[in-house]
Amino acid sequence: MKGVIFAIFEDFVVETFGADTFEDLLDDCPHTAKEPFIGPNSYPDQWLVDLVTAACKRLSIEPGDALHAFGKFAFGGLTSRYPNFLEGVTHPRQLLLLVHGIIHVEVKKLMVGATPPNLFYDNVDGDPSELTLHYESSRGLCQLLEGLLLGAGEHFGVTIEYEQPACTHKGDARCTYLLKFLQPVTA
Amino acid sequence: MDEAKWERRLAREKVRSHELEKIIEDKTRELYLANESLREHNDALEVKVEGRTADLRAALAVAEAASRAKTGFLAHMSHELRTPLHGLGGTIDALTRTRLDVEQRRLLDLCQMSSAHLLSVVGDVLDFSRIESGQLELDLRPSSVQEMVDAAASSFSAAAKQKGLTLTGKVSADGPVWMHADSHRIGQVLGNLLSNALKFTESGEVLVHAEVAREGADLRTTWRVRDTGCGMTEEATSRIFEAFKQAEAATTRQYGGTGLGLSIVKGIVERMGGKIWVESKVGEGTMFAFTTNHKVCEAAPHGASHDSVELDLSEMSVLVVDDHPVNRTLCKAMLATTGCKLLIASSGAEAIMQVATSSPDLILMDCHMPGISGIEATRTIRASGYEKPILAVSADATTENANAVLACGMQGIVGKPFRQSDLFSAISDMLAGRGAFAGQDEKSVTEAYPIFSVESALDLVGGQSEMVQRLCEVFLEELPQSIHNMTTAMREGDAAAQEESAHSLKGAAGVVCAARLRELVIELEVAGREGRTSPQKLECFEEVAEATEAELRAYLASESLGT
Ligand code: HEM
Repeated sequence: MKGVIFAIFEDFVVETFGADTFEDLLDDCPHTAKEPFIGPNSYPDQWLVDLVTAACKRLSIEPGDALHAFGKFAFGGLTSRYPNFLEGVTHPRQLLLLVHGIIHVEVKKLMVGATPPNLFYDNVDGDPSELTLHYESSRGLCQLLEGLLLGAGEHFGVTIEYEQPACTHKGDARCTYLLKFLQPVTA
Repeated sequence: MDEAKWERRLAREKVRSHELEKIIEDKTRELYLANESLREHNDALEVKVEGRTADLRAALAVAEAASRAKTGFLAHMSHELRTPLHGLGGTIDALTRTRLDVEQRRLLDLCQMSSAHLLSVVGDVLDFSRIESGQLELDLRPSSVQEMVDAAASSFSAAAKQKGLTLTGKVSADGPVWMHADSHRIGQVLGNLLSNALKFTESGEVLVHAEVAREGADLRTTWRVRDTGCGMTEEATSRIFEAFKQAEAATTRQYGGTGLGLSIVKGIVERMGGKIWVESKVGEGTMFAFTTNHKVCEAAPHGASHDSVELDLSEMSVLVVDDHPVNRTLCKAMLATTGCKLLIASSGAEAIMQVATSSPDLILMDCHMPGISGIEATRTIRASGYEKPILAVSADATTENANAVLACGMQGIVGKPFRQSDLFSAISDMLAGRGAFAGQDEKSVTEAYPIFSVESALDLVGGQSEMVQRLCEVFLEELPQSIHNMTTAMREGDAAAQEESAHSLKGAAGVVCAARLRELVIELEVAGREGRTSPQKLECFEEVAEATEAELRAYLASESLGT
């Protein structure tokens, strides 16, 4: 996973729970104690899992909720670092359709070794207030995805409701989301 | 938070900023190198593209030169063929006016037919090469659709009658029928289509129909030639306008023709901005149709057509001004039938005198004469108060010359070489108070003049052929240098040098009787003197100079064989 995600995680913990807490988390995960996270560098996925696990233990929260909250925060972190990806975009549905084909493709060009997930959609040309989203990743970070989704909704002021009929954690091949945008795309 | 944690955090931030700086430096260097190599690539690409462009340009120049040379050769050959052919035709004409027995007349008729046919074939080749090289020029004058249709129909009426066919001409128009068009070329197209129609029709009728529709300032005309002949298959109609193709190879044998006719017709129609097509059914007949689009001519010009070559100038005196005896003789002969009183002047000065003493009713003025040119003479004559028409006779068909002619006070030009009918129509136009611009279809040289005439050369030195040979040798020795001087001056646009080289070459050409070259350089000399250079004549000069050299060499070779 790229350093930028770790850096955003650090920001998230520091801003929500204070710098102390982050130092404590580092103490809980000895392999990261001396390393600063550098955006363009890559770090083992396991480190993120360890940090999240440590945070949950220390703050007694559910890992799912933690990833949710982090995802929501991460949307802001990512878009403030790469604001040009949002140019001309006014609705989360519009953004979602760009993520896989354009944004993550550009991300791979900008950051050597980035492996963003596989996202694909059904009903692209159907009802503008709906979208079916499939998520495929060996990392299985569907709760992070949900957080990112909600972050996007918040950013554009559009409430997103969803159902998740399939999830890799329940043994399905991929995670599937039926999304409903309460304020549909206008033009 | 305790001190130790803060310090650890600070230390980590330091490493982070250090690492980031390094990354930025690396990336900047990478970017710089990438930019450099991009620029190098770009430069190399530019060099490559330039090289390619230069190669292409060179290849194009070579191709163009080759194609020009080819077209030039064709056009040149056609000129060369037409000159003796005209001579042949004239001679046959003259012969028919002598006393002949029946058999002789029959043979002469055959001669006449063959020479006319040959002339038309050569004309086809010339037209074809002009169309191919995009040099077909249109001569737009006020023309009447009615007259064009009538003329086309009447020139084939005899042939139609002979085959027992009805030939009808028809014009449908609900407005004006006069337009600015090249009636000669339209006539050529109609003639070609009509002669085809008559060829392939054994019974029934042939119809020429022009339908004129006015659109604003334009007259859109659809011309149709319809026959009730044998017709063609669809396959044949699809290839009919291609050069060298006729409906069947067998038709060439049966009906003759160069195989160029319809492709020329198509070329002419397209040159006029029109479209041509054919509709045909085997056994029912064929219809050729083409469209033209011309500017309407509001007021029909008065008596604008000259079908007859009759001209009555009795009780009129005509002054022919030309420094060249051949031209004077030609004009005299052509005007002989008009009943006019002929006056002759062989220079500008003489012309001015003649006008003062005998005040002729009409003057034919050669433009390019040594000493006082026709233009200058005309100015003087006009200044003296003479008001009767003056017609320029000139081999220079450029508009520049036409303007000079009009500016000095002449009313029209007849271009050299000209036919009797050209001269007559120009004269009658002038007498009717209209400007005349006739016979300028050949753009350049003075084809009327032979390249080299042994007879005249012999004449000049009292019949001593060794003398002529000697003169020719000297002339040929000097010729390359003269050509070089001449072409350099023309190419560089040096009027004074053009005049000087032309002047010296004129004398030499005169001595060996290289008449065409002489006539051409006189023109160039006069132009040079008037401060005009003639780059457009360069090719023509080179052609004539080469032809002269070739003929003189051929003459010398034949003489050395003979002795
Ligand atoms: C401006 C917008 C975005 C940018 C710049 C961005 C960039 C990134 C980057 C750099 C990663 C890390 C990949 C790696 O380290 O291999 C990532 C991962 C991810 N992105 Fe995005 N992203 C954006 C928007 C979104 C959105 C809107 C969604 C979904 C709703 C999304 C879903 C994900 C997920 C789920 C991951 C985690 C990796 C995984 O599950 O395999 N991203 N993104």
